[in-house]
Amino acid sequence: MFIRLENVNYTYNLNMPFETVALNNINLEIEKGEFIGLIGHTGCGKTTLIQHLNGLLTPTSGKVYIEGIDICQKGVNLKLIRQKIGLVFQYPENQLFEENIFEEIAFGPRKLGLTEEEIKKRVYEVLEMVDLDVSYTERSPFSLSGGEMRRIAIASILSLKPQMLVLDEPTANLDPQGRSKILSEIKNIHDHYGITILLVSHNMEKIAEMVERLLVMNKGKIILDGSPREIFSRHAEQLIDIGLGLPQVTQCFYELKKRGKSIKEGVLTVEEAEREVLKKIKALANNLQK
Amino acid sequence: MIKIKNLSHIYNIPRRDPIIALKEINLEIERGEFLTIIGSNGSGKSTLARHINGLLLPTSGDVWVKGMNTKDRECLWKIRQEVGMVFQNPDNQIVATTVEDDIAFGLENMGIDRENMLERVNWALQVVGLEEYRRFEPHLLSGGQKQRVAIAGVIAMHPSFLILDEPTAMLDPRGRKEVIEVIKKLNQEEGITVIFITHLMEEVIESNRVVVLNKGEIALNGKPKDIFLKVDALRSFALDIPQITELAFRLNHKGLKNISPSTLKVEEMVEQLCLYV
Ligand SMILES: Nc1ncnc2c1ncn2[C@@H]1O[C@H](COP(=O)(O)OP(=O)(O)OP(=O)(O)O)[C@@H](O)[C@H]1O
Ligand SMILES: Nc1ncnc2c1ncn2[C@@H]1O[C@H](COP(=O)(O)OP(=O)(O)OP(=O)(O)O)[C@@H](O)[C@H]1O
Ligand SMILES: [Mg+2]
Ligand SMILES: [Mg+2]
Repeated sequence: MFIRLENVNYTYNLNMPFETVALNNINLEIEKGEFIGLIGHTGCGKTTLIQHLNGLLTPTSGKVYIEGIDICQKGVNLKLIRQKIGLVFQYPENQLFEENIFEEIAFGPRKLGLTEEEIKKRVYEVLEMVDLDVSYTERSPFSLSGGEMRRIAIASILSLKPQMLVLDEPTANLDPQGRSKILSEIKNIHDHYGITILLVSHNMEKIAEMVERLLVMNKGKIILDGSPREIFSRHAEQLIDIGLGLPQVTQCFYELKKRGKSIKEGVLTVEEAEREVLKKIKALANNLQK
Repeated sequence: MIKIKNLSHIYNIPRRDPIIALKEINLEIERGEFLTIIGSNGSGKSTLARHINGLLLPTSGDVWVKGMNTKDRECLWKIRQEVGMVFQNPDNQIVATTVEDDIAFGLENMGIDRENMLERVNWALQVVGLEEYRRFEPHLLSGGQKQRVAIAGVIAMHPSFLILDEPTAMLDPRGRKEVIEVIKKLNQEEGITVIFITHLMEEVIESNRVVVLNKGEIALNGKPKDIFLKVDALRSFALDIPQITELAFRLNHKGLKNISPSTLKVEEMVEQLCLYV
């Protein structure tokens, strides 16, 4: 087992007037090589949860194991864990700090002790992945547009080549093309290098398209854990109820079903929806001929 | 009315080539419009928005708000009151420990008297639908509710124009819906002119007009249903069409002529598909 969370609870401002219970008895196991999505309403605890995976937060109670090691013990090398598990922050401005973008992206690889040559290679490689040209390298990360900043934040974690990538709303502020491009790069490194991915997102369309396993949180708890197809079909009502939704095409088929049409449930992508509609029409036409 | 004439904006960076963020923009925004601005990352949307309330001044060209030029220092205070702005991060915009104090904050700075203030706070709370939450601590609210508090704080100042720069980027589906509903209501019932920036194509469909920026220039300008027919052009600007519009587009091309390629909403699609399946 790569990661195991056991009865994890987390409360902000414990025993103070503004006490907030953010995680409520979380149990979770993640295997190497999984591609997981995490969804949940705003404030349900997603960011709090993922900050436990690399020791940015330690549980109020409960245990976090990474490769069998309890990371909350004294003397654990958190630096090493943060190299293994790269976390892209939800708000990129909280992650950026260097004077120029080259240094920003080179920061991690430099800490890894790579040669200047290798560092340079990595910087250019990840810039390409986030679709920014080399002219950006000399610019300050603070003179960028929102989406450009997001791209740099993602690039600087990719440059570490971690074993696991945890991305907190990576596609917020990206333009549609950037969204597709960066997610497909992430899918690529997952498929080719077996990198474990945990993707936190409010974008139901992309989640449905990308992930193999989906976790749904509500008020500090994990309430569903399954394949996106299963969750978006069998638990559609519950998702809507807790403030989430369905991808547009899934929603469309869900409404058709509600109107008594016999049509497949849990359709997740445009391609699939198109196929289903055409198949259905063909079947109806064949029936008419008979 | 907002009038933008030959607006260019250049960011100068020490020891580097300057960045031309806006090039010769000409745009008029009428009273009562609900205008959406879309465009790729770095296309100049936020730069344009910041010119409308005078946070940035043109490198060349002019911006007038109700006849006041943003370059005229004496008008700046008045312009800032006419043009309210809401940003992306719900947490960064909240300043007080209760919802009502948060909404009153801007009014206090304006020197509005107590009675008037109360009236405005009540009105703003009612418009965004948060009356029951007036004594709540903002941090206990959902993201969508926090954004509605931010919107309430801005509209309490009675601006004629409301600019929202990716206000839904960090919200869950319900929060996004709540914010869009509130914006629509402000526009239709309170007559506030809305300028809305988003990267989510399905959010564009509620507006009267869409302006597409590409590399600092206006590339397209029209009604949502006309703009979304220009699939290839949009893609060349790093944009896309909503998922349901894409499905409609594909089915129409497969010969299902009763499915309009400018289908923008799931409900429309459901109605049309009922004819076939
Ligand atoms: N630094 C903090 N201090 C106090 N409370 C906090 C802090 N950070 C988060 N919280 C609270 O903890 C709860 C969980 O927050 P968290 O940020 O983990 O949610 P989230 O699921 O990531 O939400 P979003 O979708 O808005 O990013 C919320 O009620 C939030 O207000
Ligand atoms: N303070 C600044 N200094 C220098 N250049 C800047 C500054 N702010 C923005 N830019 C540059 O100006 C261009 C336009 O930026 P702007 O923020 O207006 O884009 P945007 O359309 O809002 O993008 P996004 O969708 O990513 O928010 C970009 O190329 C950006 O790098
Ligand atoms: Mg979060
Ligand atoms: Mg912007």
